[in-house]
Amino acid sequence: MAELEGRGRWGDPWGEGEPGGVRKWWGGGARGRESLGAGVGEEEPGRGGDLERRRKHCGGLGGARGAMGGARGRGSQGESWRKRRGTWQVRGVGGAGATLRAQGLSPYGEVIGRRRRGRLVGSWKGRGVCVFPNGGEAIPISPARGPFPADTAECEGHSLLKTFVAASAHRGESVHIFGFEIPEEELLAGFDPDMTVRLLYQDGFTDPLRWTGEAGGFGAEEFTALGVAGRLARGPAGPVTVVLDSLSWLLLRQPLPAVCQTLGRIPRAAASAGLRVTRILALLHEDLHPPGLVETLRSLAQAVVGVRPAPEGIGSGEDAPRLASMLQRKGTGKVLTKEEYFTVLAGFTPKALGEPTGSVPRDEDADPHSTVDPTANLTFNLRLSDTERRARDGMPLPFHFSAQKKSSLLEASTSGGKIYYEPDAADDLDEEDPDDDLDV
Amino acid sequence: MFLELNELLNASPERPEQGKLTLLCDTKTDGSFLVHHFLSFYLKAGCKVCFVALLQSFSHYNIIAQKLGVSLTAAKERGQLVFLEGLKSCFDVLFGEEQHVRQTSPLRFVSEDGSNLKTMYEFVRTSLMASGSDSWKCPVLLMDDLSVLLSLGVRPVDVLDFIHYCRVAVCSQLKGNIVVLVHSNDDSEDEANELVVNSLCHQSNLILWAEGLATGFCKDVHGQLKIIQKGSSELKAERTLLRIYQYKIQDKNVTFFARGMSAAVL
Repeated sequence: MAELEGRGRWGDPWGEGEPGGVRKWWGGGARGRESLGAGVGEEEPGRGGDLERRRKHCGGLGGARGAMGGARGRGSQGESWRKRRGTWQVRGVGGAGATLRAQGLSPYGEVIGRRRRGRLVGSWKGRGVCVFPNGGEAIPISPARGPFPADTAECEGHSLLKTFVAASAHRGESVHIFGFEIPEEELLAGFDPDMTVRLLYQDGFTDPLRWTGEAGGFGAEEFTALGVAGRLARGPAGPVTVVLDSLSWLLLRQPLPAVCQTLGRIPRAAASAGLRVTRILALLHEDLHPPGLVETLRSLAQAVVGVRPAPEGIGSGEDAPRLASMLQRKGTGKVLTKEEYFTVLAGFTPKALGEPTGSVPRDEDADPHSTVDPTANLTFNLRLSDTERRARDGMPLPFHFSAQKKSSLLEASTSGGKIYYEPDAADDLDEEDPDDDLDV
Repeated sequence: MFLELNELLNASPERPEQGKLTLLCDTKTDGSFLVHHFLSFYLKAGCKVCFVALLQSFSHYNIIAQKLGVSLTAAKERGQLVFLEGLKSCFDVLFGEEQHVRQTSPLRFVSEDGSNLKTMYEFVRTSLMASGSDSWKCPVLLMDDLSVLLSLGVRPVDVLDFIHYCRVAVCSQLKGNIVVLVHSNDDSEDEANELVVNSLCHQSNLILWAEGLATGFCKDVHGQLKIIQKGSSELKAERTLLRIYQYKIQDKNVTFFARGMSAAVL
């Protein structure tokens, strides 16, 4: 079965695979993704559907029940995974002794349902990935929350990340920045002094791999739910925003499943320490990862902001306009997409520069790759600008019979033409037979 | 050092910038003239330079530096230049007789599984650490080139880790500069190399990208240089400055001109 094959490529489930696993697991990424969509994304059963119903939708795994039953192992967080009747179950310690039990399709952080008091809590969303609702609990339990600015080398996303940081600080939340990419002074430069009080930099930049043995830094191996929650607990109480700068740095050094699991567990681990994580912001450099991985993260996040450079002629010369393509998943399951030009002013306030004209709001299900534009990469120009189009419309065609042309033909010329004829000596004109010279 | 390039980059040896990572990249051409430029530039500026040369021998660099008016031998004797000759060190590590050389060489990773560049990082750090006696300006790490490490079998993430720690030590703590050369080829589908190039593009402050001409080779135009100056995101978003010039490498100099303005055309 196609689904099974796709899933089989996910490698060993406990995150103890070969080094460089992220890439390997995603070697067949596109295939795995497709199968995920095909397997579970066709229908949207209501919230809290029962287990049997969901098994029906995961056709591939249901069929594998017999063959693959009984697998079990221990994850990197000390949790135990086991496969029972075709579904994976995880049992681990989610904070202060509370037992977390989740059930889902794959043991890679994409837990797609949760069992609580015998009932399945969770809902289905398109593409086969479930985002948990905030059902009755105070803590957000979605696997990963908050906007993910995704940038490329041509267009940096740090300034946009800083606007989110500034906005969180304005709301009075304490912002924990786990910085791996740029040093503290560079990251905190430009913020008001009263704002920097709320910003807590967890130094993952100076010594993330423990090469120099400096104390106090945040090591890469410390990036687990409990490790992060421990850092959060050192800060002041109250609502907390977690900022990851950047997720790419972590994803290059940790396997994707471990990172996803950690992202999903941070809110719960923090809640057991008495903190409320309102959002997790993570910066992702899109061009460093295979497309499959980026797609997975997109489907896990509640909001994604992609940043691209804006075309020429947008905004004034001073500031750097970018094009943000936003994708937001509402609590009701509605997905909003929007594109907008923006720039970041001093003090990290974003300024909207209007929406691109002529773009139609895309349907969430529309596949951007389905319509291939054959005129995209041509060495010549197939399109007309407005002035060119006007010039073309104004050009009279040679066969077009206009009134002007008609009058010019019919009107007797005033100047007239005259023929002056001087007969040669050889010319023999006969008045009575003018056609004498014709050889008939 | 090429004066015209200095003018384009708005740099002068009297006041070298500090804390910057410069990425030199070449596609379908050889960008090593940029390495020679920065080597002579920083030696003339009076910076302490650690040159990790994995591509060529010392005498090669020395001959070219002499043409540009700098003596590497003299700089080495002064203690201004620390030269790690990759070709020789590799040989010593792999086939050398003495055991302690194998153990202490910065290129020890060659004989191991190639995953730990910590020894090389420690070599860079100790050679650039300011000692009390010398009075050099900011320290500079120069690497020619990173792609050799990948060819030696080092994983891209390990290369990035090495650069990360060099950034921490040289750029952030010692307020110095790093200049690295990487080859790049869009068509090669060398994912490991592209990962390193893309990742360094994100981290660097200045990118000099030498490209061969798309239309083929030419006697008077040897290639074009893309200069990408990243706007600092410290206060607000700033436009990334992109300029493209064509160049011609001469015996002791490189001339830069606007595209399509070479002597052959005009």
